Amino acid sequence: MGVLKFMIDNLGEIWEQTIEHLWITLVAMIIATLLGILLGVILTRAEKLSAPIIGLVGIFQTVPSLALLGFMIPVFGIGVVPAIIALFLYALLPIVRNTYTGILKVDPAIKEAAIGMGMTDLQLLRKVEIPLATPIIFAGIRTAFVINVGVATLCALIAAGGLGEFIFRGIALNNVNMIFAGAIPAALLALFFDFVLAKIQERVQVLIRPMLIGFSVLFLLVIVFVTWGSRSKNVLKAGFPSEFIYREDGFIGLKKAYDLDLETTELDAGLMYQAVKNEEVDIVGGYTTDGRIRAYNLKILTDDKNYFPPYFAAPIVRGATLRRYPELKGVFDLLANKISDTEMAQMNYEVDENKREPKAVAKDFLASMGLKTQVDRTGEADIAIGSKNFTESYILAQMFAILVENYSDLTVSLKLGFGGTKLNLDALAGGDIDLYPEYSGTGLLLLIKPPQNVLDSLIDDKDKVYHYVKKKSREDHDFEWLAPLGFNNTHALLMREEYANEHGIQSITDLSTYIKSLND
Amino acid sequence: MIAVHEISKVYNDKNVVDHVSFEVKKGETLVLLGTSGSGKTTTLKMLNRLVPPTAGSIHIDGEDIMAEPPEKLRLRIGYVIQNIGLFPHYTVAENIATVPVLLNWEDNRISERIASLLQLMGLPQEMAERYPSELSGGQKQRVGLARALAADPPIVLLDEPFGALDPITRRQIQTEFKELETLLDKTMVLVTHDIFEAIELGDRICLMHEGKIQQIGTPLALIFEPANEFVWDYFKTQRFQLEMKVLTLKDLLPEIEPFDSGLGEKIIFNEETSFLDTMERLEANKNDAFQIAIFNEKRQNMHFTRKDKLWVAFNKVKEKLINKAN
Repeated sequence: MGVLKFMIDNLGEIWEQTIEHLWITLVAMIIATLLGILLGVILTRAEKLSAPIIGLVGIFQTVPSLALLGFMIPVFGIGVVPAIIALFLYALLPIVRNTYTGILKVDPAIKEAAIGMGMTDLQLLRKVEIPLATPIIFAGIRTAFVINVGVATLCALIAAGGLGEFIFRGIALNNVNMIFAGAIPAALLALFFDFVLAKIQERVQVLIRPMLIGFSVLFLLVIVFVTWGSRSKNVLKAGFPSEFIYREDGFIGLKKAYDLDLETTELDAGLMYQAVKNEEVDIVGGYTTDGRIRAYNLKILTDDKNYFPPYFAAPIVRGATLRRYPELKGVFDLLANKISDTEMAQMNYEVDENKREPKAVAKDFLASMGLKTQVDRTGEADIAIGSKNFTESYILAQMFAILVENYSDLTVSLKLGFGGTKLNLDALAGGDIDLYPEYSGTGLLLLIKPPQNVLDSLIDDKDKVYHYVKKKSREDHDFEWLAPLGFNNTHALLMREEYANEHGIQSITDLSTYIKSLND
Repeated sequence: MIAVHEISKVYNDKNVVDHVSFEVKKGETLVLLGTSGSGKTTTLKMLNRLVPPTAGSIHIDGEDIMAEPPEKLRLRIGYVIQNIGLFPHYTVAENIATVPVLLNWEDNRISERIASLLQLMGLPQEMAERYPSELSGGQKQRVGLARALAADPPIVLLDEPFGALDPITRRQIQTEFKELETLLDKTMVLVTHDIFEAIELGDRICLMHEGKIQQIGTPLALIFEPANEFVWDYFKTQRFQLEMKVLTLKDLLPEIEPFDSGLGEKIIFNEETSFLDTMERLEANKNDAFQIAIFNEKRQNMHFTRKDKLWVAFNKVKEKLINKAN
């Protein structure tokens, strides 16, 4: 019922995202249909090329969707254009392959009769081969269409909009209703297209011609529209992960606190750094201990109004697990306040830029603290340690595992890389994992979700936050927080260092002033 | 009309067609006969350039067929293939209209032509709007032939045109085909492996084996004057029937002893009827006493005789031909 209410409350935005979603999918499909059929036809006339080209087109389909979007950024930047290109590449294989095989499968006797009666190659194609291959070609278009409605949700990660915005935001914000608000329309859209295309398929011989003509007209309109729409405005652009944009302690509050006027787009956290480096965006929202800050020559803008809440990292454990293995508390006390911001940033840098294994980095750090690291058990696991899907969480999970195996008799299994806080908390509650590295601020805002007045009274003081979260987690969820590790990985605004220095921007207040000066 | 000079086709170092030469006169039907792999179909397909010759030349009405684009050549040559190859997405009418449409005929002219061809082929007019999948094998064959004849081409090439039909339908369509008036003045080249079809339809037969012509001549010449041992062997197993098939009543007339009782019913035969067909028809009557009347095209020169006298004449003529060959 909550889902329905949420959807009704957000009907406007759902409608807007659905239109964006449709638009991206449709444009990509139109281009893929026209070029795919053309390419398929050409391949039937140059059969030697068919194996390598169909192979090449097939490779695009084997590249994981998100990786394909990642490859797009250095070349095409972020936004709608790379999203359309990625979807186009996805749609190409079924269309090219079906066109090619459809034409080759036309009965050779029919082709011979047509040629023997005096048809030119073009007449053969137009009057015989394409009409007879149409059902197979159309099946390819239908497959590609339905796949692409699904893949288009990922386009939200490179600032192209669409129904994926709700889905990823919902995962990040631990909000099931929001996930459904994106997933339900996306699924309905896929079903709708499948149904409509199935209806068209029944009368495909009659309908294919108007459809292709319609596609060609739309294609021209798109080109006109894109050229016209690409005139850009002179505003600073910011790219934030969806979690950051829509969190009260993220951009929403930040905007109020500093009176910031930024054009924001949603970007996947993993793709964000590439985007700022390529000047696709000017500002990104990152974390203070991120190793890529150094690697990409970015500058952390000082939070001079102390807006961002404290995010002290600590292991969060299931109550049941801790009661069964009380020795865990002692184990993690060994790490209490042992890691500084700089040390954590350095470890992240080792993994992100020097491409070292998180496990090796974690082991080296523990060794440098004079802790034991040599035990590495295999076999039946006593506890499972999880992590989120970013570098720091991977390193910490590995560190926890080494520590537990060296300072207790427990054997650890690792279940790493859950995307988003919600999935980790669900896994912890369900007993799929026993503990994972979490942050006090995240626990406060996504797990406990206290009323605003309580929040205001806590947010400035890191110890108050930790103790409040620890107490409420135990009472409400039977989760235990062990000793904080010492560093504070809070949100930060990052800019290209060069750009920031050039315009004398050191703090977020400076940024706000600079933007105002641009608009005057 | 068609002059083929020393054409060869080499596939993978193998001479599929090996220095083949022949001529087809205007209005004549030449049958390319042979087993599979004899090169007969390849030879046919070189005539409309579906297969490019490795060597040699082909002239139609004195002009080298390589002198113009193949599509233009093919528009003037009717083509019928074994599997018929009707376009499944076209109606019967659209199938028949294929070449006229390629030639940009006016709509009126096309629909008139379709109607007259359907009538000619003995197909009901309402069949025009049906699709090939709704037709029987024999009907498809007729539509295929109508399609090949649509633009009234002077030359028609037929590749095993009746090969896909069951024996009874095939026999019936062969007879109809032979009697089609539109085909009388057409120059035709027909490929078959069916010896009886070759004799039935061919003015001359070109017997091929391993890419080479073994003998080219009238059916009578091939049976009674075989050029070599291959030709003799090729017809050996069905020799007796074939001898009956190649001789017409006209061939037997000089030796037929007249008999006219002046009474009773007579069975009437055209003098062009083969001796085999005559005997088959008489067999059906079971009455040896029936009188037989033989006449020519114009119903002149009636000859009256009896079944037993026909046999005598057949044996005499056959003996003479064999002696002559030796």
